[in-house]
Amino acid sequence: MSNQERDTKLHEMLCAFALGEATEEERFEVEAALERSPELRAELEEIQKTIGLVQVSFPEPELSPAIRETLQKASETLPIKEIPRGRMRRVVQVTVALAAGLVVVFGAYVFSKVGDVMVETSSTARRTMDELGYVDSEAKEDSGDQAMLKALGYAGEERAKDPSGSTKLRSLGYVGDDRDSNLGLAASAPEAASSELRSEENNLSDARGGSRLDALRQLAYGGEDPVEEPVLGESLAGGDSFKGPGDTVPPGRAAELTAEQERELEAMGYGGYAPSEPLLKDSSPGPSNEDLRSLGYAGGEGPSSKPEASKEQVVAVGGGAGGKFGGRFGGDKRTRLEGNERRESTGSDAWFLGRPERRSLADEEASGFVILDGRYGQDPADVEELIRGCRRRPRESARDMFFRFWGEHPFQPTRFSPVSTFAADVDTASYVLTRRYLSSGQLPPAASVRTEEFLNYFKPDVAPPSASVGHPFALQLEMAPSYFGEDENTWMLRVTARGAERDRYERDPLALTFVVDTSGSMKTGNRLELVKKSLRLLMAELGPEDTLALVSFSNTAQVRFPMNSVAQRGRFGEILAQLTPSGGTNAEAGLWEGFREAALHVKPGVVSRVVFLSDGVGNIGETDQNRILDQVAEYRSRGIYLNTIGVGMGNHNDTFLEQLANRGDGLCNYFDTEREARRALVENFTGAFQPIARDVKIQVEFDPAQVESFRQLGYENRAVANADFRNDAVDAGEINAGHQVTALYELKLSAAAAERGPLATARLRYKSPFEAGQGERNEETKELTSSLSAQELAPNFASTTPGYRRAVLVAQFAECLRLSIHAQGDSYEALMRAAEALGQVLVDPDFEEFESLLRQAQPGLAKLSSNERTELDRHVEQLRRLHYYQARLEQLRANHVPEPGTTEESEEEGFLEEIRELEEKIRGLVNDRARNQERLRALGY
Amino acid sequence: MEDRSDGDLLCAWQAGETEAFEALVQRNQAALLRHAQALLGDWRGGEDVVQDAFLRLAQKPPNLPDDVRGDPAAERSFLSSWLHRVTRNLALDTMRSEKRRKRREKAVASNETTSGGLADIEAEDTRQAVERGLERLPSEQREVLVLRLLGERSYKEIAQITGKKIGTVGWLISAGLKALSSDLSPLLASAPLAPAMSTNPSTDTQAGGLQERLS
Repeated sequence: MSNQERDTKLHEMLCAFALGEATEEERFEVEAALERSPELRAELEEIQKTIGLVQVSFPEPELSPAIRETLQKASETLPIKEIPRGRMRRVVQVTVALAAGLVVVFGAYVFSKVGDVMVETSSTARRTMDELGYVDSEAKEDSGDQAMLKALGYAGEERAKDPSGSTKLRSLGYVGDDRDSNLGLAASAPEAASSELRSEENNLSDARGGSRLDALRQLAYGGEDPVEEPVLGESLAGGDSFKGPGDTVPPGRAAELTAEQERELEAMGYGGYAPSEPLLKDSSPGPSNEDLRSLGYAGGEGPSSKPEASKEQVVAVGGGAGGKFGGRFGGDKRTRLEGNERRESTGSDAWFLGRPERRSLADEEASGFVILDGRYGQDPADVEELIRGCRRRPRESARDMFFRFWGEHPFQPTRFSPVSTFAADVDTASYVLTRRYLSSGQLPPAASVRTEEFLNYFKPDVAPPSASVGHPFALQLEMAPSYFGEDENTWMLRVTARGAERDRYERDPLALTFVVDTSGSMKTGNRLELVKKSLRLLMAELGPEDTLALVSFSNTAQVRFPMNSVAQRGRFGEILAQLTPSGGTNAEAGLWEGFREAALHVKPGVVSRVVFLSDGVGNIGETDQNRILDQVAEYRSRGIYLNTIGVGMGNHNDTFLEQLANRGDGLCNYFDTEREARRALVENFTGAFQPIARDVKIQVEFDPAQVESFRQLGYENRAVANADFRNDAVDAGEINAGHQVTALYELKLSAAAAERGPLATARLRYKSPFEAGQGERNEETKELTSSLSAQELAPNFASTTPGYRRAVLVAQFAECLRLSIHAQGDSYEALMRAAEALGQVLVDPDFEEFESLLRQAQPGLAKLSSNERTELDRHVEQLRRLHYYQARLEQLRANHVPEPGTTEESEEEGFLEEIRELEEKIRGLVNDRARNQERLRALGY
Repeated sequence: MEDRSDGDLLCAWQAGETEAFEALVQRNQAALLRHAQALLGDWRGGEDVVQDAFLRLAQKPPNLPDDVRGDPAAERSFLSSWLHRVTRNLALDTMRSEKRRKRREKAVASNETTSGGLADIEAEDTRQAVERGLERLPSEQREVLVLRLLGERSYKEIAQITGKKIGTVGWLISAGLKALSSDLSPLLASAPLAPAMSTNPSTDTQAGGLQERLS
């Protein structure tokens, strides 16, 4: 090889290296060679500068408005395309789904409106649907939404006007709210437990004609109907099920089915697929209550062996429990798995948009969402996995089971443990992210909604501690009847820890190292420009004794501005202005470079903080994540904090950013607008950077004599084992100046509480912050306590402080968005009304914004809760409940000696039998479905 | 809109949501314009070609292959490569039929007024120098450089778009950058904008490696 050839090859390789096109091996070699050769480094630098010059010189061109208009017009004419077979099948399915949806909406509408009036003829049905704007297959989604809202009791007018309407709604399963309260009761005290079991026994004997499920229902486990009779919705949806009422079908597509195909479909149980046909032609008596019930709108009505159950029984027995679980497994498009090309139809976006994010089974379990049908309808072999998933795992507690099934904690009986412990958290990213989702017309993924971050987003309302207290915290408790609770025994406790304010002049000097992501993706939506702007805002807040440094990273990291006095801010600004986005995201390199720079300038009495700004670090694998987190903790022990700031959206990986900040004892913020940047960095300047305490843990202890059970809202990933409250080695949260930590507990009081002592006691434990260069850190731990007695409870919601009310409403919103099992069935309308009322009292722009978020989320949530569940989903749900109930029963028994003469043994056997039956049903269902599909396939669908 | 994949947008548009098409235009226009301009050698032109490419998309959109469908990154790569190929063909047609002539002088003149102060004028000067430098390159080199640096297409995607081998793409980029570097060397001296150098202070490694392998 000649010299020239070699130079050419070398240059090629350097170019590939600079552009991120080199393979791992090549990169390694180039790096080694660069290390040795200054000439090579100069050559690489030349290449990089040339690339930079080209990239920075060209603004992004755009098409002229005239051309865009032309394109816009052209795009309105759809391309003429042959519909492939798969598409055709989907058309059929969507159409069928639409038909099923119509029946559901129609049914619910009729049921809520006219109650027990049977609709006899299909012409009435048509007329009613006419009113609803549903006969046209192009039914506008909006009107559909409205009708649905009304039908589901979300519009509220009818309820307000007609008190009996609410009874009907209750019977529709959308108002009542039973949860597992009675189980909490049962477990609260030995006496109570045994009496509960006795009453259970009574129920069992009372319900001789029914099954054991009746007893469960009376224990507020009211499940769905184990449907046996042929169900209208099912027969419409045929072997394949759909969950998309309100889907719009592109005009003309349905008409492309041939008459023959139509007949075949009908033969296969797809009868009535064409929406312009009278929908109910095959179901002779019209939608009876039976049908409606079996469509899942009757909550948990009696079992099939008791078909004569009257509507009153429906109300009394079913309550809202069925409906509560009802919406949850609807057709949440966000959790739908891919690979089901045949049946992408779900709630809102219809088949053609069905490409949601991928989720693993584990994710689904953690969040409590399962869309069973799509997956298990496919392969009979999967059914065993499904059934196994409903069983109790070895050594799994009932509480854990509940969490696994529904992604929430159940009410915890104080008899088992009267204490709740958690680490303080003042992150707010989840709220900002939610706002971003809603403003783009989407609901946030349920898993990304963290109730505690919603609560902590809002400005403090509790007064900071006076200097005489001796602690940098004020700890306050406030309690009133739970606004969204199901009965008068349900209360809501708010615990607030308010951090002391620090004036600007009081704060310690800062050494800030900014680590800025300059990868190509930062170009999107002007993210890098937003970062620059926010750093400029921040610079204005710094004083002469502060210092700052700048590190940037893309494929590699570089110190742009070594730690220097803020007096040099002009130079800093210049360098900042020169950052341009390009290349990859080597977040790790940036992080370490930042820490290295910070570590070089650690000084006593100076708060050293790395501030990491990025639009996502999603490309870091899990093993690497753990290693990085450990390393961050290591730097933290050397006195350097880490704050993280997420910029923009899309690939924004907030979980890892949050973990990073947790480990670095800093905050995780999220910006999408300049306003938000200003809020986090300027208005909350001391809060963001001046720590007042570390390892802050809060423990709340309830008096078991007065409180039967409780549940904490949020803080799922901040829980600390109760025993670790005083274990000061366990890392917990940090609190900065002026922050307020808010926690809410919903609890059930004992009916016979005559006690005088404190009902709830909160303890806060913290250490003084330690700063870089202090030498030995001060490990002394301090504790403060505050308690609340029964005399101090507010008599009603209205008499609480506005801050309390704000917290309750905000948390309720979070629970709705999480599709929390605890919020199912709660009236969203009531939430909106309460927010409106409070908005007139509060002077808080953040709350005004909150109100508008409530409105934005309404249509989406209503749609979700109106989605229909399939028979399989209902069976599985029921199976889970049985297993959970059984686990509770075992736990209960382990905690008290059974009285002689009880029938627990036989009772348990009954459960086992029930479980076996359900499992068989599920197997049968899946197999039938597979057979049906086989036949459909044979017919060419 | 921004976080929907190209495949989703395509489907949504075919189902009647015209905004989805608009989003696809938004997403791809800059890279396609640059591509067309690089081929035509006209930094203010290329709009007709890109318009035609989008019209082609509106009339006869490609079918996403099964192995691409569902993976947003692959969808994007597939669709943008398709658009680039169409743009390329249209641009080459235009050049062949000689309907278009360079009108750089005119275009630049009309764009020379800048709003800001000295810094903007400097930036504008730099930009023009870089444009001229690119124009002096052979069109093959210009095209791949623009695709890589401004369109952020990978070597592999560029190979698909232009019908060249990946090795050829790498060579063209290297040759183009080399020529451009020497052409723009006066600017490089004062250019503070280089992408970051590796700062990992690696330990002293043994001699050998790259150079040996290359010799």
